[in-house]
Amino acid sequence: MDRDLVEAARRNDREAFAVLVHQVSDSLYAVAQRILRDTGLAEDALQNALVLAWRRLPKLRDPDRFEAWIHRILVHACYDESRRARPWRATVRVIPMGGPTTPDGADAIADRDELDRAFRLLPIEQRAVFVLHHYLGLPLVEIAEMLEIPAGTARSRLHYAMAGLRSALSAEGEPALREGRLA
Amino acid sequence: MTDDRSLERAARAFIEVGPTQAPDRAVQAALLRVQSTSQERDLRVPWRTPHMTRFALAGAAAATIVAVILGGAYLLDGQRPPDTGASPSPTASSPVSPSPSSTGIIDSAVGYADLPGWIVFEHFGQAPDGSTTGFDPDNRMIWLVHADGSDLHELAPGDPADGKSSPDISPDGTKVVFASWTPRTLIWEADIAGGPARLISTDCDGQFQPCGEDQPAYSPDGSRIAFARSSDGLATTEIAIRDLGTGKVTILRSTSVASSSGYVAQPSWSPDGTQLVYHRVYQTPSDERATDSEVFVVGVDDAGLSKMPRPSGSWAADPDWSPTDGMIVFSTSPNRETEGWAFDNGAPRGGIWTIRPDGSGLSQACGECFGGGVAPSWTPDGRQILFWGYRSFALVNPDGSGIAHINQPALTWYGDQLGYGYAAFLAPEP
Repeated sequence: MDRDLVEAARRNDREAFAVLVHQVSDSLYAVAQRILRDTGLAEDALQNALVLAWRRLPKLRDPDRFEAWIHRILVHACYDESRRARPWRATVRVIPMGGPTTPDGADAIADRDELDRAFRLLPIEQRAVFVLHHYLGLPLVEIAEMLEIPAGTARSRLHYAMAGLRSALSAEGEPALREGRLA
Repeated sequence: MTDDRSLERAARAFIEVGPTQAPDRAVQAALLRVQSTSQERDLRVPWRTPHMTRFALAGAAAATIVAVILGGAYLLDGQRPPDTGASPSPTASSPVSPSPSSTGIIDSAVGYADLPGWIVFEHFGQAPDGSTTGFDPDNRMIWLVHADGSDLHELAPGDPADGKSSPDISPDGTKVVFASWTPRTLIWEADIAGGPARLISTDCDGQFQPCGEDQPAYSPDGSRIAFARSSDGLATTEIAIRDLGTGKVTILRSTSVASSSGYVAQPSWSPDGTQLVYHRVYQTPSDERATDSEVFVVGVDDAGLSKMPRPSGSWAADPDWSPTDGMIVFSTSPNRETEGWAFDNGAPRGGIWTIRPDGSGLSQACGECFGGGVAPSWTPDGRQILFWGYRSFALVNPDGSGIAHINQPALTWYGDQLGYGYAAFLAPEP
């Protein structure tokens, strides 16, 4: 990330900020979409995060931390979107899949569907840590620093995310696991 | 039974699937909103914090200073009433005070426009007179203006090149002592009437290695200054006193704070010159986050360090000692989310309180204070409190009456056109 661009944007340079936005928006959107599992909510989270980042940019202490900083803002924007959508989410039910074994391609899709349903059941905070760790490849210590949470909290959120996925998959009958594809 | 690794592999593969490009419409919509959105300037009224942050990021801990303006109140002119001891006279009203309404709030937006003397204030960003247009948060300056808005001008323009902060006015009202902003933090002095600045910290490099000097305050007789000193490679911060005649520096060791745990700030003298009030900010060693702030009193002989009571649950800072009756004024912040004195885009917090130096008589001058009061300083006659009430300057009597902005239409600098004017003091025209 170009430090000069960040400095310029901090000083109210909207053109510099636009350049920064184009550099980070793909990553931000990908993370938001994976946390929220909804393109509309992810777009809203991205927009809100970018506008909030612009407003708060003068408060960024260290320009070299811009990427981590704006990802933190995005994650919190995802929290907000998730809360906003919660009433609707509460109506979503998990439907056990079970059933006969399907061909490989269809199996993969079925696995993804199962994981997707299981993932949606996780608390948003656990989803965020999961995505930052497994999608962005960030170490837990770095995630903790980014989200301003204790490292132990980041670790436990990831642990519970995995446990939650396992539990949800079990509840669905673990078709993929039964077939040994994941073992 | 699946194992964790298998599940993790599957989950990782699952999370890889999905869009990797942001929809252009979302990005453009955000940039369109940015066009009409102002940046928050986080008007934290210790604007001096960035001094230390930078050095802390370089590997040292901090020793900055919070707070705003100090004791401009040691100004002298013929209006100063005789000392009356420790007892405040909260109901006394200034000869220039408009009559308060039944609610104690003066409705007129141009209240106190006839206030005599100079308003000396800190400012950053563009010049408040419009002479510079590029916004630069490190462009810290000290400006003077009359309450009616006339004669707006900068103190010692461009001198030093490091910028200026933390002004205090000499007891005779002829000089301003201040700290340079960045990269060197040193103490300077300039005549209010004009002319170049003179370096006071001649034996300090201002880089915090080995020392930095900040937030100066004149003694009541003008012969010494108290200041916040950082030393030993930022290992500690402490309150110190410099004799302006000999240049000798005396460090008050009882006030020393390890920079890993916070810093001390904003000294202000008692009227008899025997004590100082200051505040201490507590920080977490890991990320310099402020966790608390308290006000202390200490003797200039380094004895008698004592902590002042404060409103329950509040942080206390920004102390200033009245030049006349011995009362101390300070500001509070009710919760840590503001880190003390942040004015976060329309959500300011803070109150103004007074207390006797023996810890008795804690009293609130204003709670809401026009959306949050910070940077309180006594007026030269010791009868009123000047503070920054979110976006512009204001006055209030110690009992809470007479509260009004000072000529708000003319004396408000808050935005990306003319920068931000914040903490101020009142100085009489010599």
